[in-house]
Amino acid sequence: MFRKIYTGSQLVARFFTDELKAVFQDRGALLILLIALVIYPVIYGIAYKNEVVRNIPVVVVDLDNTASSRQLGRMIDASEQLVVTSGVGSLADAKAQFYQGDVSGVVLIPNDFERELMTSGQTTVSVYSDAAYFMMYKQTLSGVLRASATFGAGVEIKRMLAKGVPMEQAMARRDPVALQSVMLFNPAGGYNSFVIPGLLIVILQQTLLIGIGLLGGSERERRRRRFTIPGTLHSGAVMPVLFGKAGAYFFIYLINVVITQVWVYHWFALPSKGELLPVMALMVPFLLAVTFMGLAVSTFFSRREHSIIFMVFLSPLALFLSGLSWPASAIPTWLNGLAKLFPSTTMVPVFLQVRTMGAGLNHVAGAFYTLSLQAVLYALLALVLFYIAAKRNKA
Amino acid sequence: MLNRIYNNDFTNVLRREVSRIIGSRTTWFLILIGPLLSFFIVISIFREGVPADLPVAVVDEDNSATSRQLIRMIDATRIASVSRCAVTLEEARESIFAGTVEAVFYIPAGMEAAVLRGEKSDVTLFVNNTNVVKGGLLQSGIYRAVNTLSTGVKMQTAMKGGAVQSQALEQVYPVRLDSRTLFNPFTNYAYFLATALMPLLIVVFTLLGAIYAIGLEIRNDTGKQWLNTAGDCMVTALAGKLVPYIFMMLFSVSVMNYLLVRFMDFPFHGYWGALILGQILLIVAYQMVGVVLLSLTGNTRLSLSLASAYSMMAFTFSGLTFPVIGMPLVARFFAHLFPFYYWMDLFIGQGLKNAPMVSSIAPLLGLLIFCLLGWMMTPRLKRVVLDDQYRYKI
Repeated sequence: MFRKIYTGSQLVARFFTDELKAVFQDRGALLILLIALVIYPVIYGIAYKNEVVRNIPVVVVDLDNTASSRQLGRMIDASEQLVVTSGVGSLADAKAQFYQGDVSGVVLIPNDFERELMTSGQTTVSVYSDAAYFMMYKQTLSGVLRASATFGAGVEIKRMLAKGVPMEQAMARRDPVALQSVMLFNPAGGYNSFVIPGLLIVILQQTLLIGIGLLGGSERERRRRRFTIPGTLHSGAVMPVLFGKAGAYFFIYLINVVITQVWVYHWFALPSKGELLPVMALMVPFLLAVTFMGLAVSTFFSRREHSIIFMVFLSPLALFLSGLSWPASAIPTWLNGLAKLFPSTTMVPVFLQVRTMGAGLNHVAGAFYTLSLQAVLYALLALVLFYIAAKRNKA
Repeated sequence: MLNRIYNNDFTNVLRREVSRIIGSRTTWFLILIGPLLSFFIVISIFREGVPADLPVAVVDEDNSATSRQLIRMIDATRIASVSRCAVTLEEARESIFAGTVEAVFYIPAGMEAAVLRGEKSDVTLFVNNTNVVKGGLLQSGIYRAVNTLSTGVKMQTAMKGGAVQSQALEQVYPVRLDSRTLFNPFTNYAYFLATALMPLLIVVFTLLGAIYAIGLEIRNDTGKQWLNTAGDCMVTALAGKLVPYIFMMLFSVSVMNYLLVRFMDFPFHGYWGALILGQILLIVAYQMVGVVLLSLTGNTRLSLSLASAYSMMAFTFSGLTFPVIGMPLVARFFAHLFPFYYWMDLFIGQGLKNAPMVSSIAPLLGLLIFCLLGWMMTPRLKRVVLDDQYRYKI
């Protein structure tokens, strides 16, 4: 009995080192399993480094050309989101500039702007924003909205003061129930802080799945008797192979966790409220689940190219199914259930709760157990599939 | 004469390739099953459209008729749904951490009394802005609800002062903002994502398919036979090999166009001829990227690894999620290295904006350059195909 455990662990150690060697001797695998984890985050990080779009060029068509209309123009220019590149006299000129790509939005101030304001009437400012690019549309609209609201508030208060309402009361009457919004965890609404943390999790998962499949397919192609074990143990005892291999990938991915969770976070100043302990507590069952899933899936690949061909297209889908940029509540139930096959679907939301928001392990206990259960189930599945493959090899 | 049309080098390669495709399940996955399966998933993900009824917790310390009215108004918005009432702020905080609510709305005691006295009172909204899309929608939806209540109070005050209703409305809104949304009447995030995600998947399968088709010849040592069939001309060999793939990908593109227009009601405005030309060029451009990668590495698997990274990254640099002009200079330069960038430029210009044709020439030329790049690589590819050092070694 004791002897058996001893030889068993010796075998695990051997398969562990064999697999590590295999990874480091294979350029394609090394690229996916190690180098991609540095390159991807850096490229995405640089693309989104500015976090929000500032100073979007807009053109103001000022048909009124009075002190009031010019003031509104200046207020739009002063907003964080927008910069007024030029003033033109007609909407046609503005349109031309817009199609040439010189500006991304047009603000139209009507010709009776000031007169309407003076006679305590209502005036309408039009904003034409380019909704073909979502972010531009949002920023243009909110910039103009804020400027015109501030301008309107000034007009309202002046009107009340003119009627003899004292300043303090005028301020209160202008907005009797005011909403104070506190944007928690990502106050500036930065795009990097929003996308990268969850993206890192999906990248960890997809590279690991594809990388394992790549080496699994290569071995199968070499027709090495990969699932059988030399005589000391009875044939078909695939445990040492499975755990040796799993250990090797787990080890490599612990390095990747350090790269993505420490180095990338530091480099791009990503929001990190959580302590490292709950993050790691989630990371361990997550990585184990992905590793065993990868090993189980790899038994289906008969060529080394197959893992890329059959799995790369799943990467953007896994990203959107994780609810990272598209709320999971808007995804149909059957698809959400199917998506749970990916550990990332469980991991991404709870990881964000822990890392970005600073929730404790007690808040995400359910997901921790789900991931652990997933790891055990995928390990069992891999064991069965390895066993079947070993039998087939023997025959 | 007829014999020359049916029996030349090109058709020989073509026939050879078609029979290779028919026998390969992997290839069927790349050219038909994969694209259609992924379209089905994309459509299913985004079918519901805008997210709605996100859970919000309310802490109502005022507990008055006005505060209850405000809560009902928030619950009635499309984006928010009040899931918990009358909890303490501490409890609400816990439910944000546990992920059961997306925002907490706090009404302090004395809100109604202050409103009745004509004083100002503040209500506070704490939004979980980890997801900026959800956070932004919640904030603006609830802002509108509070603003409606506030405006109602103002109008009552104004009317008490003797104004008639229309006057009162003008007084409370001196400057009205009229927002004209150009090109995408839905302002729906789903359309942005789906319109970029589907062509991205086309690109992934085109690029992997081309590399797999050519790479298999290199590694299985059938390259000489392939070249012989083509009369020792690399360009003929490539053309005969890739034409079936172009047609299969165009079939998927047609399905995509159909889904966008019929199923997602996507508004197509511009000249469809330019879009179809762009789609053909996009497919050829990515096939040629495959040729470049294989010529440079001579290694099928390495090319596939590089290709998958390259095709995925194109999504980021298409500018659809985050505009390219908002990126640092180096990233803006980088964006031009992806044919996908030119495609999105063309698609948005022609498909959405109905921009003048002149503005579509540059992106079409951009795609064409990638096609030429592949053509320039053919002599090197020929060396790779003929050289034994690239053969697959066991």
